[in-house]
Amino acid sequence: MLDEYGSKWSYRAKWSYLLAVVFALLAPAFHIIYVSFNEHGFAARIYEFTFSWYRQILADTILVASLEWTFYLAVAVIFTSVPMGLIAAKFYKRSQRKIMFVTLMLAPLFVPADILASALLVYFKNLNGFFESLSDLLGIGLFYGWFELGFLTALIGQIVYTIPYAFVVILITMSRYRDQQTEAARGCGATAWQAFWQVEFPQIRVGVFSSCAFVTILSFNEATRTALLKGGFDTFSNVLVGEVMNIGMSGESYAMAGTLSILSITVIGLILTYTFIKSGRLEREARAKAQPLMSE
Amino acid sequence: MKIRNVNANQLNSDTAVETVDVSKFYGEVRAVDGVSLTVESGQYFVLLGPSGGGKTTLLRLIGGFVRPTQGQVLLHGADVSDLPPNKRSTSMVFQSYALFPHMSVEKNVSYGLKLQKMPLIEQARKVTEMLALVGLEGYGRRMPHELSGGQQQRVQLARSLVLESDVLLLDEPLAALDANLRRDMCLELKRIQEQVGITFIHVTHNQDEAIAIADRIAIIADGKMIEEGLPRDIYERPSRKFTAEFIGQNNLISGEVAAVDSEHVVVDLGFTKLYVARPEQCPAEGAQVTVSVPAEKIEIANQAPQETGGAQVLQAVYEKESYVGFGSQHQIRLPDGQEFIARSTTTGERFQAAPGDTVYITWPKLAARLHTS
Repeated sequence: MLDEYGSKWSYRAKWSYLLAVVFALLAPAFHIIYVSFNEHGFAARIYEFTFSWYRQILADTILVASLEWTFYLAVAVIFTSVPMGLIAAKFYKRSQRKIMFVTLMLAPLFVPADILASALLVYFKNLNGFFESLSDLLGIGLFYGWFELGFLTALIGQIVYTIPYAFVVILITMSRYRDQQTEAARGCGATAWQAFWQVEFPQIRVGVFSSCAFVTILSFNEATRTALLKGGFDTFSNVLVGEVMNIGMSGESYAMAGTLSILSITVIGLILTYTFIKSGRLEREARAKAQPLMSE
Repeated sequence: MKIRNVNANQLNSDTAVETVDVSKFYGEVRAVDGVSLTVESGQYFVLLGPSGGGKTTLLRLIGGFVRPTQGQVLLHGADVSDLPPNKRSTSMVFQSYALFPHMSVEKNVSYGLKLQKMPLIEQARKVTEMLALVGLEGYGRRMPHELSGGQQQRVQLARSLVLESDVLLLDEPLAALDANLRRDMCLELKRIQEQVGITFIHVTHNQDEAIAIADRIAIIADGKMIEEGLPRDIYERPSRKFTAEFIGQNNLISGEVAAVDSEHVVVDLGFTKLYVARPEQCPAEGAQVTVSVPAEKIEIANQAPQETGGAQVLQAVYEKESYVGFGSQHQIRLPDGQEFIARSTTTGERFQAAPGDTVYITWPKLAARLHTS
């Protein structure tokens, strides 16, 4: 909101600065999308619009397989990180030691990606060794290969990475929820689950779905941890990074990067648009119909 | 909804709610500390006390929203201390923000009925009946944000009443309303309670609200029950010093018991002696006591009265007058430096004095109360 005693020009300057920063941050992504639709690729003097690079992705069996793995991983991450983020957010609201709890929840964000990935790699190797020893000791093969690098270890790596984001996104919506409503529902005869599902969830749904979208994007974009923990399969980002590192950017690479950028920007854009439209509509409705708060 | 017409004199005599030495501790903090309380069926019972005194925690203990650290909560004689709220025959009206904002008024009211799997036609009939009872006919399709504060509280009331619980718990239901609306809603709550005839337990820190609606009042402070009784007794004859300080506007004077006879206790204030009606539990001579004198029972005059008529008379120094709408408040200083307040209404002859003038204050001996604790 504009400070009524502040300078209009100062206000405009701040907004211009903010927009300039956002534009500078997004410009490379838009440039990649722009290049990905050029028949002649990067730095060509001629621009001819084409979908051919995107068609090539779909024709490439390795890329399609990597897309599949990425999709499976994203779905698994959604079904684990989001509920865990939700539980953590609910716990946070009841917690007496909020600062300590938030610090713990956000700690994975402060550890550099490659260090966290290496640590997890060593951890899984040791854990796998421990379970193999346990199997040998007991004379049964039950515990063999539980923590060998593969889908599970890549999933755990992504969960560690995405939970803080899921937690924060849900917490933002949940902070507006009044616990008295849960108590009112319990007082009406609802069980704890009914009170959550019928009263609380509809009010934090936007946050949960936003968290799902955010976690999906993170999962699709994540490369470092997955590269070290994935074992024998490739994800889309891993293939893209591998291609760039080994053979440099090709038309196909631009199309892959374009796919990730379009996906991310579209999802976030849709969420923001929906949220703004909905809150604007509710505000207009409330203004039109509401009577003064404290009089009949 | 079974609607019964009852009043305070025709109350059902069985016990609806009983707390037996109930306590709730949060670490070192004793939110509720050994409260034993009995509420009869059909009573409008008010828990009155200062903020942070533990009255809301006590209400939540009765409703099952917090579990007692020790002691028991009984509903109609059955121990419900370990039952969650949805297993108790109570329902609750909260201070505010407790309507489900994503549901219309009728869906809010029918929520409990839906959980009971009541047929839809029956639900609709009961919702209509309840909205009529709380004066909100035709508001069923509105969303909570389209209602005023008072209307939202009425919806909460309808949502609780529709469940036909034996006991309705009201946690500062009028605190968020403005003064006029609070007064109207007070009368409305009393009317509804008399109409439906169930037990209401109402928490408030507002003494006017409590006295206006209660059949009985319990004063709660520092986690303990200080005193319990009829509103008139609590207001006019408080037995505890805390109650005298909290309710109404009482002047408190400390002194020592100088003598005791069959009718009076003589209290030595140092500069004069006061005669106070002898209480049931009479303190011994030499005991330190406090005397409370209601401000509205004190008469103030420029001249010493010729005939005291058994009244207590003190000489004091006039300080100032404050206009308080229905009358005036006179600030006086006693010889020992203690401040005294006397009230006069606009209907009587207006008393006038200048600051520093000598004045005489008088009150009937029976108006003063003696407190040992």
